[in-house]
Amino acid sequence: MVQQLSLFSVIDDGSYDLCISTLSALSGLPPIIFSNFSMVSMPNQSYDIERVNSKNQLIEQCRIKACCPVPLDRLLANDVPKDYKAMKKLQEDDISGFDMPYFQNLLAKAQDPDAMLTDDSDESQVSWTLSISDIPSAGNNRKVSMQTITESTVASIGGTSTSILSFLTQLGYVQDFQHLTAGVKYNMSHGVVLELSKVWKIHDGKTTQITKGGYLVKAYVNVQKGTDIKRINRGVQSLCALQKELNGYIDLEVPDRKAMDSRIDNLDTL
Amino acid sequence: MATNSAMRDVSVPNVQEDIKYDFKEVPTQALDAIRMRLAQLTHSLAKMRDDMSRAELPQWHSLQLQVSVVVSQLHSLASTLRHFEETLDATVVVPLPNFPTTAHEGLLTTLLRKKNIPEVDEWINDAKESSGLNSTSATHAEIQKSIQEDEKITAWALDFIKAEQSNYSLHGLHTASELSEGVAPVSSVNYSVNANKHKPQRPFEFDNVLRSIYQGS
Amino acid sequence: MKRSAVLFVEKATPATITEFHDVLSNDLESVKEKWSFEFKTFRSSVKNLPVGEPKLLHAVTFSHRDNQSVVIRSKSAIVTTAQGSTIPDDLVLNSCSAGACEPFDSVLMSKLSNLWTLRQSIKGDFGSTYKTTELTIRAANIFSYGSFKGLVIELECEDDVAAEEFQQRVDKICNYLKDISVGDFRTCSDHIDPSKPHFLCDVAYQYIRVLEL
Repeated sequence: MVQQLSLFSVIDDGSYDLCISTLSALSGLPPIIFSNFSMVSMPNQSYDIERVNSKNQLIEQCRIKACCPVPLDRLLANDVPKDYKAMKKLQEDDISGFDMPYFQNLLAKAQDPDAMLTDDSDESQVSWTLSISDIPSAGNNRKVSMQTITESTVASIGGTSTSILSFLTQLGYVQDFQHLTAGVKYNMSHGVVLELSKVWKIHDGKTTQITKGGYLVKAYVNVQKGTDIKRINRGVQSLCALQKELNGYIDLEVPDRKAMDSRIDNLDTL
Repeated sequence: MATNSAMRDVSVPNVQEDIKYDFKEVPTQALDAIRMRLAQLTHSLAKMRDDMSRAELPQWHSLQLQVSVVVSQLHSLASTLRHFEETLDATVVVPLPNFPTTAHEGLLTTLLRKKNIPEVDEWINDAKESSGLNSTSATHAEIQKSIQEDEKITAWALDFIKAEQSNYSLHGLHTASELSEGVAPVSSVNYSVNANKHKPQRPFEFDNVLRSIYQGS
Repeated sequence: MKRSAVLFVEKATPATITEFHDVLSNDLESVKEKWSFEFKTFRSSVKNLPVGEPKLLHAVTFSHRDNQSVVIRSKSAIVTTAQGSTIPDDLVLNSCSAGACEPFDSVLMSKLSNLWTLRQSIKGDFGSTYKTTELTIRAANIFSYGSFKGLVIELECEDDVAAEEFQQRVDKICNYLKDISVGDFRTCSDHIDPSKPHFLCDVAYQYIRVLEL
């Protein structure tokens, strides 16, 4: 269980270049470009699932996020150089090189055996991260958002249908929504990672950008053990130091914890 | 030669050699102060001229340092002159009777000259012309106003340059010779906009994006 | 292609493993490291699970294969890693992973315990590994909550041999078992999906087939 400490902000598209050069100067490192695809699933609602387990402990229904890396050439045309400037080509709802069949195939491999033969070697290699996020800790005087994430790394998939979706179905989960994230990140000092990203919702094979006009800014520290108070405190300090350093330029803030709640129909139990 | 601050002293004719002159009224303090400043200034200027005439030019930063020293010395001289303005205005200079007038006529006329030398007249005229004011018809108030405006523009320009300088982060600047020798990459951007003055906008709320990421809503 | 088979001797005694070692002695090339595995059975807690759907889900964790776990239900399987260092780089670089990884069976027992209930846990600890010219043989006495359950033998063939050849090698081991008067055992060398062999998932599948009645 990872403890993720985080702070968020937003910048507009026009400030991107300046922000990149500022952050590059600040971190002393060039930006790292990244992109991933997430399929968030929820418990099959036709199932009658109790809120308690056999030991009578309260277990709330939670979403599972399946996330995998996306090669940039699935988003951008081949002639676009794949550096931080490429992000500027991704300001609209539509993604120029968006390869929907690729994503559909990622989730639920085509059932056509011929298609499978040609692609198989590629896609069974795709590894996934399955993660379950708790609601961030409560408390009015939180300096940063603190969220427990339980995650598992899927190295490979076997069986009759080698898709992550079919496994999740076996687990009792069904697809809820999908999104795509692309952006740049910096590894700052003391384990702080700063990400500027654009996020699209994928629905009916179409992409809709939910960060239109700007970038989501996320600064975070992952602490591998939730019981490691020392590292958590150090992480909070490092994040607050960055917050102070960027103050007046990018104002990093603690988000509403309810916005980061991935449980199902839980609002009444808060 | 001596200076005398009162007309009545001048009016007393005395041809005797051993007569005791009354130097009490001579503004020694003011004159000494000015002499001191002038000495410093001439020394600095002479040194700079010396440096400039050498085969190898001095380092730009040492030159810049000298210029700023000269400027501050000039400024100090000007303020000293202004400080003793009243005393000096009321002072008249006359040669003492024992001055070898015949032998040093040239020196005496130079020292007692009240009109500006032609060079200085030229500078003054030049300044007047470039100011765009008709010095004969313009009133004192008009001239003052023009000077004030001039100062205002100077102040604005200074501020503007300072602001612009802070808007950019200057790095990797190279001399022309470095560029031609290929020491520095010509294509690289040598200055970029500085972040300090630019505050990004927030086109959306991050809570909404997070809600969409975590809950799909 | 690597091939595997799993044998389970339910009517073994804790000493059977020593006898097995003895009959193997003539073929032994070397004795390798100790190994262990854990086999967990989960049962669905869904009350209105449609009739005909399997109620069980299995998780098999192998210490000798980088602690990887295989979670299988109804011929759909995933392999999860348990060590931070084995997380693929591209997952971390692309911000998919926060750098931690738990075996999926522990996720089942914590976050998904309202959906899946742990019914049984079988452990084979401190098993022996024997290497012959033909096979790597892993044998372990298995226990469920402290009580002896039998002997498990896992056969692995790294040579690229045909199915028939592999079956002959397996039969040889079966004959050895008969030699020590252990005739009653279950064996499985099936693939989870014959058209898509996946070594680790297949091994896990074979464990399930022999251990689950």
